[in-house]
Amino acid sequence: MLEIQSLTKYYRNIPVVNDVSFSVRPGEVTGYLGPNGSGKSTTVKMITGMLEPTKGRVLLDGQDIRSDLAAFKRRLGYVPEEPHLYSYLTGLEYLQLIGRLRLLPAAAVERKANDLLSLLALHPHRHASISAYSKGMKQRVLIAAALLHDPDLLILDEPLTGIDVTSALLFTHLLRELSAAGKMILYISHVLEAVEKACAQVVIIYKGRIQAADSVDNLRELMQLPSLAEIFSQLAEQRDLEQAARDIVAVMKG
Amino acid sequence: METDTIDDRFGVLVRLFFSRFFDKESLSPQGDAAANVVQTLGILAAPGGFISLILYFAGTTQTGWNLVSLRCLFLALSMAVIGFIVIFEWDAIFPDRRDYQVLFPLPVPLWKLFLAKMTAFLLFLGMFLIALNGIVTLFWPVIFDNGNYLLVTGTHLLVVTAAGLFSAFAAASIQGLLLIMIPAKIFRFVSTCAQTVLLTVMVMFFFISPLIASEIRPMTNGYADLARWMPAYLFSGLYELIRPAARNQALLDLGKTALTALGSAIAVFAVTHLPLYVRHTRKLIETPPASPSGPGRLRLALNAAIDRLLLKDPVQEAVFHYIGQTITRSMKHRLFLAVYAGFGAALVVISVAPYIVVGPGSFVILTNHTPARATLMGVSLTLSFVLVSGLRAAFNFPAELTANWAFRMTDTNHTRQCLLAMRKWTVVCGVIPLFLLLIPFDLAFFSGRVALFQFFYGVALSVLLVELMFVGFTKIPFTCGYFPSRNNLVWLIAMYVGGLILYSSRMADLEIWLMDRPQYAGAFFSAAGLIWLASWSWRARAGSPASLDYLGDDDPVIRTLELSR
Repeated sequence: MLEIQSLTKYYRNIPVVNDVSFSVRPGEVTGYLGPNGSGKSTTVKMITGMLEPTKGRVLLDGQDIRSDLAAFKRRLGYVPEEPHLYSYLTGLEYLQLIGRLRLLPAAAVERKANDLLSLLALHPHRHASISAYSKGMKQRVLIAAALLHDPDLLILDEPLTGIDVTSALLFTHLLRELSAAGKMILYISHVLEAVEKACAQVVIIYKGRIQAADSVDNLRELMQLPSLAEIFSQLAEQRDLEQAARDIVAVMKG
Repeated sequence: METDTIDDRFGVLVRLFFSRFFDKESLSPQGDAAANVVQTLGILAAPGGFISLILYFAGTTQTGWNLVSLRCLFLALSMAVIGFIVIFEWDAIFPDRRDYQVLFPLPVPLWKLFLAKMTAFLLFLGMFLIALNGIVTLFWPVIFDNGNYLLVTGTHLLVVTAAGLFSAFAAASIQGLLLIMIPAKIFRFVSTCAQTVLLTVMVMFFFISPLIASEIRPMTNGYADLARWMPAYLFSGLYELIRPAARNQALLDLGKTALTALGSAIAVFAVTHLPLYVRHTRKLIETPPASPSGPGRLRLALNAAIDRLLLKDPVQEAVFHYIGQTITRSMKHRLFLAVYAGFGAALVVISVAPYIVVGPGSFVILTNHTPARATLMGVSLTLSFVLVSGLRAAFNFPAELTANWAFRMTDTNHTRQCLLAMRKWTVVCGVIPLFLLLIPFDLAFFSGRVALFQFFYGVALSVLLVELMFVGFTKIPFTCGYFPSRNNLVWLIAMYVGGLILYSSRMADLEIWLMDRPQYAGAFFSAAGLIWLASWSWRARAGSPASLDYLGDDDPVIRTLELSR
């Protein structure tokens, strides 16, 4: 189990993430939601070990990840928020690079990389450089790279960005299969419908603090609201969005 | 709809395209391209400023061949710089996908886009020409060439602009010819190779400009046929046509050829680029991004052999292939190495030039003369020194700053394997191919036995040099998330001034000495092997650094001038 305990990060004395605690259980998808700038990505960076927390710790199966970061990374698959890739490599070369760095045998790298590219509809483009890929294609390369070494823990930060409808549907099924296989999955997304369908529990963060952490059903019942979108709007977005939309049209016409 | 607006679309486009020339990661990986260009302009202005000041205080006016040489120097410098920029910005002449996505949906005709792009490009080039010649032009009438101020200044500007235009159109025409002649399938590969080689050549010409200028008199008088192929001499001739200084007929003849050369360059450019611009634009709209067929069988077999015989470890394989892929595909790294290669080539030309004996209609390089022999032997050592130091410096530059998370997320304490792969790549893909390429050069001047000895001696020394230069280097090439600080610049300069001179000259002397003493040569190779083994085992025993360097020291919150240090 992945446990996040009182995770806090200060940037120049300003708390960006403040006392965040929750857990991700094996076989479950945990949704992590919050508006832009709420501290989601900073939390993820701390969980992946890329950023050191000011306070708090992250435990994987009871062990602090910082005590053996290398061992933690071996069990982690990560899809980052932005598709930052070496754009001059081809899709296949990128997966070969990651597979080798993950110490997979050469034959396994070749087989898995090609199979994943085929299943994610990238095989015809495997020899094209990533710079020529669309955003959705880059995202699929990232997903393939995260799955290549059969990780126990998956952290998926906005994995559906730019992805077409078919791939998004495939991804929803994939999440189900991965959780059925006992993987721990932390799923960060703005697509609330997808989160509602896939996640056993959701954690909502706003201005660096946890606002709610429970199953969607419990939250619905607790807040007397029909959908996750409305729960999210209530907890994390206080603006009158309808009025804002009217204002935008007014500016456009003005 | 507003109807009283002025149609300034052309001006807007020119400004946009002009700013796009700065918008290149290879021009400024740190994102402050404009600052870098301004610094470059300052550096380019320096030679003109220095020469002007020195001659101003010397208080003499240059006349005759001295004046011709000085004119030739500035023409050669200008042409090398303009040629370099045009080749560097090759792809920028045509619209790219971003232009297509942003500009083509707008109601702007294609001819206007082309014209705006060309105008912006000429303005961009003009900026560099002014930087190089601005100070000189102001001083020219006072120091170099007594006469009517406006006439002298105007002539200098005219000839320098003509030379710059020739250089620009000739360089752009090479791209046009490649586009026409090379099949689309291999165009990208050929174009990349040609671009790198031409950048190297331009850097070399920049550094040997003083040599070119100083040789204009003997070349013009003795080798007019050869001088005709040297553009700086042609435009010096044009200068002579307008404002005679040496009153030399051969030089005047070269001047007439300059006009033909300029006309030809513009004609080839027009013939190749105008139709290509339309074709290129249509292709961009109609053709989906290419899906190449991937590496050929030979490449796959070679990679497999390297993996099996040399690397034998997945992390080593990953890093080794990643270095090769980055070097061959990253424009900024190729540019960086081209500058080093050009500098190395210039050093070779400058060091060998004194030993070239010019005879009627031909020239030979002395090989029996002991200093000449040492110099020629030092050529490969100079180049290998430049190569290893150039690679070390290039490895410091991140390929894509934001993408190194892939290495950080998969870094599972295999520092030693990563650093080993880097050393292996440097030797196998850098040092050995260099010495193999130099074998024909050695055979041209020396016997087969000497060439063979030169190969093994050079490789042995270079392997030791790699060990020495990479002490304390704890990065996977191109993956650090920061740029080398200015400390590296100081270190580089010190290394070049001291190291290069000592290394190539002393080691070449040692080579000559060893060549006639087989027992000592054996001792040398044994010692080199032992030193390498000692270094290897020292690294193994000392253990690898705990972690690889990805981030460097954190940036201070407030940057100071550090005057109190």
